[in-house]
Amino acid sequence: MVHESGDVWDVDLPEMKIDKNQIKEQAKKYRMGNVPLGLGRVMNRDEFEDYEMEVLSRRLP
Amino acid sequence: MDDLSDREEARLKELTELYAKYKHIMLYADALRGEHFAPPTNEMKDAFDHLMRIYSVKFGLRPDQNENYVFTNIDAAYRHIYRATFEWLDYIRIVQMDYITEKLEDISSETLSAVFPDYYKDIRPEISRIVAEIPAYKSDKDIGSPDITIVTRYFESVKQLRSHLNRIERNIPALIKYEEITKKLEGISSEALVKVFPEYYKEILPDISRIVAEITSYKVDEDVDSPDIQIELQYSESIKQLESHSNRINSMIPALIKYEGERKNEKRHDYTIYAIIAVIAALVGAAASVVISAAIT
Repeated sequence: MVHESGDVWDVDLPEMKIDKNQIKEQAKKYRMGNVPLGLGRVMNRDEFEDYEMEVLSRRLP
Repeated sequence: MDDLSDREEARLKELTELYAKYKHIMLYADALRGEHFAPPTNEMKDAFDHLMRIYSVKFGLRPDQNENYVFTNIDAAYRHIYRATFEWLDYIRIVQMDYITEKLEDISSETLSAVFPDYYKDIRPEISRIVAEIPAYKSDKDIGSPDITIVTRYFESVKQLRSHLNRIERNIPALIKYEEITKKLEGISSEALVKVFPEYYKEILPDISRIVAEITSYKVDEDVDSPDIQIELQYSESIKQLESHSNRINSMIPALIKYEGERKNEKRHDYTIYAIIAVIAALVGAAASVVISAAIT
């Protein structure tokens, strides 16, 4: 998409959005990409924050 | 291509040094769980975009930018790589903590104290210190002037965690074997061990103590990528010996349980006799008191 001024150089790129189901479907469809990605093994920020809370709530023995 | 100014060149050099650290951290982190962690990739995509803006000016595609444009974009790229590095460092810290708690969750504190005394002495306090220290670094990551020394400090902490993790990992087989042995003998009295399995106190227990002392005396190689082969062989030999004792104890468990069962039955029998004697004594006492009171009246 071209910016209104016609100059896209200083337009910030959109944030990457990750849809695990789409990744898995596309991996099946196109047989491309690496195995972890194809299996949908991707962690986004929200998932990481949940994981972080869970790990830090555990006590070391 | 136009030359870089001194200021631009200095910042670009810092960016390159930071990227070297980023790459090292990223390659290590990426292999930890076999999954892709998206947030740093997002930052790197933005860093790349800022670098391309610089090239667009330096190659004359957009010659009329102000004099700060190139420096501002080098600085912006630096900040994105800085944030990407912190994303990975946070990720590593949490994955390592997860790994440590998961590995040790079934190991009792008694076993840890006996086989791996350094865990409570040095490692556990150090892990707690590092984990408490890291969020302080994390809160610094958004400050106005990103500082590579903070990344270096954080990186060193994560490397320390990695070294502790390696020591824990190395001790896991010994911890599991020792835990197995102690669990097998839970509920078995020393009397049963002396009677049914006299070798336990004579040979096996002293030998287990010797092996554990040997394991704890092995110097741990801090260089996780090139461990000392001689020590590794000794360690593996110790584990085999523990395993052999564990198997021997295992073979004696049915006999020990049988003995314990018989002992309990005998005790139950004894209690029945004591109860009958007590009842008879009470009856005799009652009869005697009746006779005595009749004699008095």
